[in-house]
Amino acid sequence: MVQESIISSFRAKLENDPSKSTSLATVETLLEVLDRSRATTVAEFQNELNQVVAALEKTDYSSTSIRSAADLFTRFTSLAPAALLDQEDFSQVLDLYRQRARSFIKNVRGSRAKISKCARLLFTHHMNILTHSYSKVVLETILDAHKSGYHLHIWVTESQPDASGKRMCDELKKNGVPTTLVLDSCVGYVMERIQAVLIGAEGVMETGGIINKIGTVNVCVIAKARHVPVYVCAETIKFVREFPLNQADIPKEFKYRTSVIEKNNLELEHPDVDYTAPEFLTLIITDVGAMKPEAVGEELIKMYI
Amino acid sequence: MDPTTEIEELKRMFIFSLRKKYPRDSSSAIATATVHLLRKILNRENPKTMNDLQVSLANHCKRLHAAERSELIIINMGLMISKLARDEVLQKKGGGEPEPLYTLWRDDDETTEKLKTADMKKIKKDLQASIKELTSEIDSSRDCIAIQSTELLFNNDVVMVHSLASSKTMHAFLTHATKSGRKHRVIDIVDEEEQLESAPDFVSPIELYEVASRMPETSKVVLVAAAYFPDGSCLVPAGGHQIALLAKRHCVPVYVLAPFYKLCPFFMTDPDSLHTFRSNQLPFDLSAKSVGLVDCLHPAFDCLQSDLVTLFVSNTSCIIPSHVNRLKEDYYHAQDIADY
Repeated sequence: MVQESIISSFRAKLENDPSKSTSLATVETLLEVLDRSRATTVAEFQNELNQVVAALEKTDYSSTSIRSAADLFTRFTSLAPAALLDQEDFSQVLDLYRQRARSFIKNVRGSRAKISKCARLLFTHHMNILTHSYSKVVLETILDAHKSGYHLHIWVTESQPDASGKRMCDELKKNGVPTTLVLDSCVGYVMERIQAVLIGAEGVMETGGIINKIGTVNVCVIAKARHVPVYVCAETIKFVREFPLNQADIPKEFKYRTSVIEKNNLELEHPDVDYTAPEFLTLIITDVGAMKPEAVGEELIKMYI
Repeated sequence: MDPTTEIEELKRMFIFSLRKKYPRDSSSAIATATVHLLRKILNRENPKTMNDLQVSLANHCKRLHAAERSELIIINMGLMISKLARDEVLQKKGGGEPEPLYTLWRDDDETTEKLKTADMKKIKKDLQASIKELTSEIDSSRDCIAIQSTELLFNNDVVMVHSLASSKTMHAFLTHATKSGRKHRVIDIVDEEEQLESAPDFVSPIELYEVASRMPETSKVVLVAAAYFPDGSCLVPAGGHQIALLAKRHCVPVYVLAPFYKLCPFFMTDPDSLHTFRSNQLPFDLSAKSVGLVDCLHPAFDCLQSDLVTLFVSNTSCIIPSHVNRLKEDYYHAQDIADY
């Protein structure tokens, strides 16, 4: 079946290149679908995409990232100029989509570098920065700042249950950044010496809050109580049209991996992510510039209405 | 004289005029002077393409700002003119600007390439006209802010203000309210004792240490911004932070007068980097003896976080701090900010 080959190519993309984000792999996979597509109407093409997206969400990768990237990618199918859509030959429309999809991917690839440039303003010398879990964009931002001569000391939480903070710590140490690994329960203890909290996000919600690795909300609440600024690094491709009101309101597929949901015994499981409300965040640094959490909703409205 | 030396001469004169004046000129005068200077520079350099124009504007502004670190207005004016030029080019071409998220699937390089090579000759006249409009907007902003005083100040209000002596905008704001028949009381916080006598007759002057005891009777606090930022924070003359904190303690609203040319498009995360200092207060012989041993800090500004400000009174309207980000988009282009 076509579907299976697509899913395996999606997996291969992520496994072959550990620095690739789930969002980027998603849009690249969707481009493959687009390249192969022989659809003759917009509805047919969208149907094709939806099937693939549903299949992608069944994998164990972050559904939040897949959903946001796929939504944005699907969005431009409804934005083709009307004159073009009226034409008999649907392949022209597909060509337009392909051309757009390629610039889309190019822009997504460049977004981490843009964030890193934008975040440079936040750093000062001899700063103690706390980060939670493993985030590729945070890693790149810190390494860039380190390479350009900033003396930073990074404190990384262990981030159980998968100890992804340990991975972050190893990566940073390998590149010569002074790093300390701390327990998840140690955040309150170290916060008094921290000047800024820098975290990534799996998804940025319409509220301006973020969904990220479990434990993020603890870090942010403690930071807020001690008046430590919390900066979130996230690509605009991670903006999702969801409006969670509290932790219980996070969609189930965001909270648990698909393999866990299929066990049908969620009472015994721990969620993988939590929701951090916008009042605990200072700035969200994206590839279109830094913005206050309040501005996220505005950007999404511009995009989807 | 060849254009390059002429431009250097103009820039030197501009910096000298800034440094010679003590106390500092009003911000609107500096903004107007900057716009005039940049217009003259553009006239003499006569850039051929949009790219030339932007590069030269950014370079001149960086140099000027490096000479006078505390004048953020220089950067603001340069970026505003750059945005005006962009708008003119786009208007000639027709078609609006893509919104930030749309840019994700637009080929950015292609559009910027087109914009960069745009011929400046065609838009020169229009650009001159819009620069003129910018100056007239700067000139009128004080009156526009003053007019809004009747919407913010009411009878029986007790208004606490700071730095009335140094801000003409604040003066205009209060006089306008008085002239239109508002019966309010004004408490003015003065920095130096001499100002206690020289204060205008419609205010009762107090010193900074009295603020805490007078705050309970106050119903409104009005401050004036030296600069404000897209995240809703702002710089106010030193002392403003204590006043705002006390106001928050007593639930008194804080209004900040903020004309558009003081809107700085960058996020300020490190307030220390922007702190400029007024002259050293130690007498000369004392400071000569104590070199390196005594430090007498006299900061010019305080940084106010957005939660301490109720409203910014801009020349167009009153805005809440979280909307400053929108206001920024009216005056600046995202690409210019990213390139700078």
